Amino acid sequence: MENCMLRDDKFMDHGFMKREPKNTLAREHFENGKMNSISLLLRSNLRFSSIHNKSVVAYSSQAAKENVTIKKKKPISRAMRAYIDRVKQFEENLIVESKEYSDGKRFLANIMGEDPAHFTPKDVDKSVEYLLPSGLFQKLARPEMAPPEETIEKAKFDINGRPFHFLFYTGASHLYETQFETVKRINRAEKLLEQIHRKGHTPEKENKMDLVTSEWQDISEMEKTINESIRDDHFEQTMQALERLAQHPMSGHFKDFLMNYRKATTVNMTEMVFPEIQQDPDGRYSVQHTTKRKTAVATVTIRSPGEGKFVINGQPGLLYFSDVGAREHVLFPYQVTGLMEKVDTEVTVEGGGFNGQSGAIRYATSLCLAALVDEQGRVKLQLAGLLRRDPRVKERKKFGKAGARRGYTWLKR
Amino acid sequence: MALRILHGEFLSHHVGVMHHLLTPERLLSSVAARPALSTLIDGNISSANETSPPKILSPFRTGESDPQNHSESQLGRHYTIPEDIKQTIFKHGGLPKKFDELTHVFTETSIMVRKPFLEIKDYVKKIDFNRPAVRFVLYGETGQGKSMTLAHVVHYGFNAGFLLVHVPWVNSFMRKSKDISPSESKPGMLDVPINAAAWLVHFRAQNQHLLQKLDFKTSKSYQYGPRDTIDAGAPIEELIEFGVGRAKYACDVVEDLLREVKSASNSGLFKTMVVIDGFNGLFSPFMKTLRMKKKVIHQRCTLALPFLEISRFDWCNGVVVLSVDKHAHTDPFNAESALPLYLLGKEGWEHLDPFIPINVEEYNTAETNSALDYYIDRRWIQHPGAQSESGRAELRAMCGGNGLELLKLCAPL
Repeated sequence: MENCMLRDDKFMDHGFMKREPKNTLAREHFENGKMNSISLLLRSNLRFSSIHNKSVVAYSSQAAKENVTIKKKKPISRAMRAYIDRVKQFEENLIVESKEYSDGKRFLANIMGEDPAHFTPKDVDKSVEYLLPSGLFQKLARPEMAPPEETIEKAKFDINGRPFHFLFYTGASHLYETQFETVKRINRAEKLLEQIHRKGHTPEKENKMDLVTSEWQDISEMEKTINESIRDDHFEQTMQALERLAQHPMSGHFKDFLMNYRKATTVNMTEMVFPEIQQDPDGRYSVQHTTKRKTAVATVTIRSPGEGKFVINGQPGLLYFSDVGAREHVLFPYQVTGLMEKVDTEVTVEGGGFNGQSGAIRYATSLCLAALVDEQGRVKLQLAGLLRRDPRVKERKKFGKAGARRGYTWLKR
Repeated sequence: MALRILHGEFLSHHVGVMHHLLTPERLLSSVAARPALSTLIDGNISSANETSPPKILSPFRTGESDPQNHSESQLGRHYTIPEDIKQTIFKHGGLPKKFDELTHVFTETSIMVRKPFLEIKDYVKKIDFNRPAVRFVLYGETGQGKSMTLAHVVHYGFNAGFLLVHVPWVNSFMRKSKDISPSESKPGMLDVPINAAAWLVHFRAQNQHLLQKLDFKTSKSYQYGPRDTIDAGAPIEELIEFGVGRAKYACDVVEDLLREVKSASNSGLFKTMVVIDGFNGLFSPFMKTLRMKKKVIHQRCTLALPFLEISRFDWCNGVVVLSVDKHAHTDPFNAESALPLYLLGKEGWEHLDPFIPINVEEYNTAETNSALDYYIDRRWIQHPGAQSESGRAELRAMCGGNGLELLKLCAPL
């Protein structure tokens, strides 16, 4: 139901949207056939107008000359006229290009020895890649052959010169539409809450959306979702509105809408591989794992049950690290799983600095503990971000710079 | 829960100041009672006064303030040094600087009874003083309590009636000498007159009561300058007084004084306890610190000789307790090991051999808990998180059983 709240013409307006939208909403529209029918309608309408403009429209100069039956010529501004001419040009161009494309496709099919009738755009891509092999890294820079509908930017205005999108003149139509829809839902949520209060009840917990299992998309993901580039301050505004809706006690009613702008945090635990548990001769269980962080490599062996002893590179206790933060790093997984002072840990670590070493130990420890704890404990570790390798590494030094970014001290010559 | 009331001795010293802080209710809330109540009652406290309730101590405290009576039952508990004794023996140094600062905050000087002290005390009780002096060498990592154990030993020696020859920190004159001048009596060597005079003041303060009682007189006459003579048979205070007044001759006076101490001990006049902290400093090169720059002086320091002399085993009625410390090493930050063989070097090892090594180990769990309880009691730890069981577990792991590290970690809590 929520999906239907979005305007259909949003996708018509995606004239410059060259491929199938990645948005799930849009995909649904495609599946429903709505999008196709509407866009087809639109295209046919445009074509119709360009070919049979005599009887339908009265704004083109050509039409004005030919069709004398129209009583009075509607005044059109020069800019509008220029635009309409461009639209016409575009339509004509599109017809030529389409013919060229279909001719080229047939030609290509013949070269490749395929049946032109069943030569799909996929086959076109394949044969272009075969005939014109390119070593260029950028995919956009490689030769390609695509139908003109995909490569030529479509109009954002209808034949009457009115923009398709109702917020076109804001300059960021889809973003403002998101804000608009969000605020509409906040108002609806307020009303729902008021209804509950009027009955003398308090909203139940289930009415609020579960925000733990998902998190907000970042700006680049959001740009892909709404198919529009977003300014930082605009993004902040939008996030404020969305956050307000998400934190509302009735946010559960708008879960579908909110999930368009959120991504799941939990991954499927069953897919993850944890180190194997072995039984030592003394009857204790032990888990061993080796991980990396930056340039440090750590091998951690955890034995359960234990007393919370640490041995790092043969040195008892955590004082191998003189840095307090590094020691906190190492302890964190035990605190999350509640296994503090319940298991013994032996560590061999080499390479890197103290932060890299403690990070490597923390990652290995987390995976070992995940093998020892139950599903609930694993989720805790996962939510704490401990079951993912930290991919950050030192940024390389650049020439002309003192370090990765820092410039040399400027000296007056 | 029974009420826990501090022992009378403590109250008599600090009535008023801590009274409002240490109400029974506060103690109950702050200190988690670990051992059963029966163990809390200190056997050494008499409950003679029928009107007052039985005196019950916190589990981390002991009412026994005389180290001679300390035994296994007080292990891991804090005893308080009476203020007058502290003023006598530690007025001119002897407590680690960080701890000394805290004694003002805590309004008491409390030391934990630990195994190394009990070990030394048991040995000293069993020593046959007619045989050559026994040397004990304390060793262990920085911050594990070597200096605190020595302070405990000094208190024990004072109470047991030993003449104390106590050097609080060797490197105070081997590294950071205030003034250096060429020695007149030993050509080619250097005097540290101010440090020598300061040490004489320290010696006098520690042994005042004993020197007044004993018939300790010079065995021969000493000629320092043309008009500076100490006759044979003069009270030893006269010699000390002369050294303090004429700093120029202080180094020579120290040498003569310790020679007198040795011969008097040999004759059985008294028993002597030599306590030297950072003894390995005597074997590192003599340095002069000038504007934060250290300069190695290729001449020997005259003040080092008497302390080397008295740590030999060619005398009796004496016991020598020394400590070797990474911080006293030639290169303190790159000292590879805290073991005596490494820190003393070849020369030092040959000088001391044979000796009894005593390892000052890290805190065990009970000792760490006791220290934490004490800090909570003294409001050194005020944060409720640090007082919870999980916070304590974290602190236990973070400090790695190192007392100094625990102190630092608790400072901002």
